[in-house]
Formats: sequence, C-alpha cells, structure tokens
Amino acid sequence: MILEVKDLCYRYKSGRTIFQDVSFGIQEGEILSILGPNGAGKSTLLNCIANLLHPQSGQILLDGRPMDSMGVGEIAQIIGYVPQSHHPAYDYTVRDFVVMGRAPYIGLFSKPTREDYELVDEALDRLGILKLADKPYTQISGGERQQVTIARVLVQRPKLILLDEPTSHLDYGNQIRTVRMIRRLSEEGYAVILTTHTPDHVIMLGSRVGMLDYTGRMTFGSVEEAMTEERLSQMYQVPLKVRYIEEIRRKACFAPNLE
Amino acid sequence: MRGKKPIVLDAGGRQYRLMLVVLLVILLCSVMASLTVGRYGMSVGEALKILLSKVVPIEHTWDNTQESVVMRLRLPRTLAAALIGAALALSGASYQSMFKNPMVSPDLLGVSSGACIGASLAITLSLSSVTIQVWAFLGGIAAVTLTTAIPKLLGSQSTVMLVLSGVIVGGLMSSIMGIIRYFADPDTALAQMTYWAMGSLADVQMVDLAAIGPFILAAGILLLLMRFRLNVLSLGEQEAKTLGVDIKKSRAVVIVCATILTASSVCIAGTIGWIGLVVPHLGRMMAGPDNRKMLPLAVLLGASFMIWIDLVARTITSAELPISIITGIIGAPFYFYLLFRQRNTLR
Repeated sequence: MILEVKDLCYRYKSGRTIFQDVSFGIQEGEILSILGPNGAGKSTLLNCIANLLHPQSGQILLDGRPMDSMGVGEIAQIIGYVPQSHHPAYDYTVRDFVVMGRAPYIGLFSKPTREDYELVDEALDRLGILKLADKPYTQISGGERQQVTIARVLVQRPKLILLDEPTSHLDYGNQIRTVRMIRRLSEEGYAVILTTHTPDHVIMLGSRVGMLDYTGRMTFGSVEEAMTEERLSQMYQVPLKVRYIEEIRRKACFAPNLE
Repeated sequence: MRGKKPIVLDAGGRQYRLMLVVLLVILLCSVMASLTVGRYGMSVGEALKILLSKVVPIEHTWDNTQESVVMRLRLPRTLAAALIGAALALSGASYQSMFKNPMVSPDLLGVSSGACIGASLAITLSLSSVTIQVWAFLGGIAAVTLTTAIPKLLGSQSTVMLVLSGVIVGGLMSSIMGIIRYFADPDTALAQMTYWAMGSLADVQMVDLAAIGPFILAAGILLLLMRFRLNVLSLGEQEAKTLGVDIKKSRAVVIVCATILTASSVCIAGTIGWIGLVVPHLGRMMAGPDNRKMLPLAVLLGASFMIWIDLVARTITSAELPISIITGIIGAPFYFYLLFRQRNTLR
C-alpha cells in the first residue's frame, strides 16, 4: 500500500466539519477520483494528503510509515502534487521550472546537475513538449502549462501523484488529453488521486471513485457501484441521468432538458 | 537521448559569461574612476601606482597628499560603496524571491528603517560599535517580522498587501525615529543620526569596513550558495513545501542573511533607498529570473551602481549630497516603470 488513510477528519476552527471518518488505501497503478459538489472539501482532503493541511484526527501512512513522522523532503520523494492553478510571480523558462521538481533530491546549498537536466528533457520529450523548453513559463497556454506541471511532477519521481481539479481550467480537447494522460500515468505504475467536477471523466478513467457529500461523508466504490443516477442526483442536487451509449462504448452522465 | 539534439544545459550560457566579464570590467573601471575623480584630481596611472606601492616597492613619484587622498579617503569610500551596493542588491533580490513578490525591497519592507532605529537606540545609549550592529540587525528583523505578519493576520497574500503593509510599518518606524531624534543629545548623537537617515559614505573608515565587512561577506556567500533554493521558494510557500523544501528552516536562513546584509549596510552608511529594488530588476532584465544567473549579476551591478552614485553625490555640488537623494531621483521613476510594466499582473 503506497498510501493508507485511516479515519481522517478535518474541521474548521469555526467548528464546521468538512469531512469525517474518511478511510481508504491506494496501490501502485491505481486511480482514485474524488467527486463532490463545490465546497464539499475535495481540495481540503487532497491538501491533507499532500501534507499542506493538518487533519484534526486520523492517520495517514506512506509506505506503511506515519506521514507526520516524516520530513517534508522524504514526503516529496513519495508524493508529487499538481496544484490547480498557478500564479507565477517570475517568468522562469519551462526547463528551469521543471527542474525544480528535482528539489527533494537537491541540498540547501546545491544546484541541479547535468543528470537532473537530462531527466527534465526526457520528461518534456515524453509529453511531447520539448519544443517549449526555452519558452518563459508565463507565456504558454493553460493546457501547455498543465503539461509542464505534470512534467515537473514526473522528474520528482514520486510513487503517488495528486492532481487538484486537473481539467478545470482547460478547453474540451485539453480536458480529454489530460484524462488520457492520467490513465497513462497509472499504466506506468503511478498511483493517482485526482479531484474533479466532471463525472464523465471518472467514467472514462474507469477508476475507483470517492464521493464526498455535504455532510462530510465519503462513499467509495467502483464506477459501476457508486455512480448511480440516484447518488449523483442527490450529491449535486439536480436531476441527472446515466446511460450506456453504444457508439462511445461507455456510460455517460447527462442533465435533462431544462423545460 | 540517442539521435536527438544534445541537451543545451545552459541556453545562452556563453552570453551570460560574457555579461559577467563585461560587468566585472565595468566594476574595475568604476573603482578607478572613483579613486581618481574628485576635487583633488589625479591620473589613473598615479592612483594605480599608489595602490601597487602597498604591495610591491615602487619609486615614489607622487606627493603625500595624493597618497593620503587615495588611501585614507577614496579607497575606503569606494570599497564601502561597492560592498553596500552589492549587499543591498543581494538582500533585495533574496526578499523578492522569498516573498514571491518582485515589488518589495529592504526599504519597502521597513528593514532599513528598522535597522536604523536599532542602531540609533544603541547610539543614544552610547553602546559599543559591535553592539550597534547587533541592535541594527534586531531592529531590521523586528521590522520585517511585523511587515510580513500583517498580511498573514488579514489572511491575504497578495503582492499589493505586502507592499501596503510595508508602508504601514515604514510610517510607524519613521515616527519612532522622530521620537528618538527628539530625545537625542543634539551635540553628539543627533548629528550622527541625521547623517544616517539620508545615507552617506563621507565618514567611512577602513576600521569600519574591517569590522562589518566579514558579516556582509558571510551572509552574502550563504545567499549566493542558496540560489537554486531561492528559485524554489519563489514559487510560493505551499508549492515549495510539496517540492520537499523545509519552509521554516529555509525562510529563517534567507531572512536572517538578507537582514544582516541590510543592517550591516545601514551601520556603514545609513539608510540608502531604492538600490535593493532597482538593481535586482536590472539583473532580471539582463539574465531572466533564474537566481542562479541573476544574483551574481545583481552583485556586480549593485557594486558599480553604488560607486557611481557616491561619485555623483560627492562631486555634483561643492557640498556633498546625501546618497538617498540621488537614489530616490533614479529609483522613483524606475518604480513607476515597474508598476507600468506589471499593471496587468499585479493582484
């Protein structure tokens, strides 16, 4: 088990419970998609796993060791995090930005070596964006930026990749490409946890799914078990239909006509 | 990577090395200009001979006044200017990376005025010169802590909020400075404080440099060694943390070193504004934001820049102008230019 989450509970200081009794585990090559309405706490859960927020109770184990007993450097060698959006203050070139993924392996007074840059160019090449290497990171499109951030996570060589709403700022084509890339990451052995607002993406990934509702309870299951019409309609508080479509050989989630 | 074009490790590396060499030559020329230009003029050759005569025996072809002007007046001044210019530029660049904010500097964060208060308090209490330096450092740390605490307290991490918070702390500091000045002994301490408030290199002695220089060198070398870490920190705290950076430790080292640089500069020459803002931006325009390339450029640029400003300050009129007057005349329009360029991205 790369990651084990036991009875995790997070409360705001005001007392509002965001989620409680969340337990799950994830292995090599597995994908877990987290669905939930706005404000249900998907990102909060992801941030707890990324060690950016500290849950009030419960335990997180990485490779069987409690995360709170590990240093940030050790954690960063196991977990890679792709944040939702970037507001860069400085226009580093893509290559200089991606090489920062090597930071967990580089000491306080050291600099990336030639080998680190080789890893960077390899990752850029694999994602087909080597041509962007010398461009300023601030001057590429949102879709390209997403890929560049994923390249950074690849050179970090983690076992588990967390993606916070990876498709939310992208056009439709880039959304589908990102879903495909997530699938490829899992095929290469990475464990992946992502949050998303699009049930169809979860269906396409065929992954396990965790559905977080307003009460802070999380229901886990396969796409077949968990993503029923009733559950989805109840979670989003709108009537929804789930149908199998022969031409695309998968189920799809629909909202009915507005009339 | 078979069959592909070889990795260009540092694109533009040759161009960068050329820039370093050019800036180094400019710095040496600036030093020579500063040693020779002034009310007591002399040729470059004479100045060089006087300097060399300290290391190798050379026939005396100059008079004693010339030697004393170069060795006692201009050399300490020039060295101090170079040291302070480099220190302030490095300090500013480090704060800018640390706070993910290109619009801050030691003076805008209140560090300079905090250090000035610390030093002035120590002077009013007639403490020793080492203690003055320690107090200046403590004043600087207190100011930067306060400035960064305000945005945290308000739960806003925007660029503008940190700058405004610096305005608040700066205002507070100048009032406290006023109080100290009000109670200071008008014959001794007050004069020294007034001289400090505007920045001047007129009274710099070699002994001051020998006492304070090592601190500047040590803090400066540490920051230069941390160049890559500064890059990672400039992505913001959360992201740096997910990249395995121990934020508390790195932050402490950077802030302590950058504050030592500013406080030491204040101890030598008082508060000098704008250098810490303007020079890192010039460096970034030349080499891009990568601190690995930018910091060495900023150090060289800062040193030359400061030498020329001091040269102008002491030669433009018959009486000496305070340094901050000149840096302000250059710095204020430059800050406007920065705001203009970043008008769409500032949040």
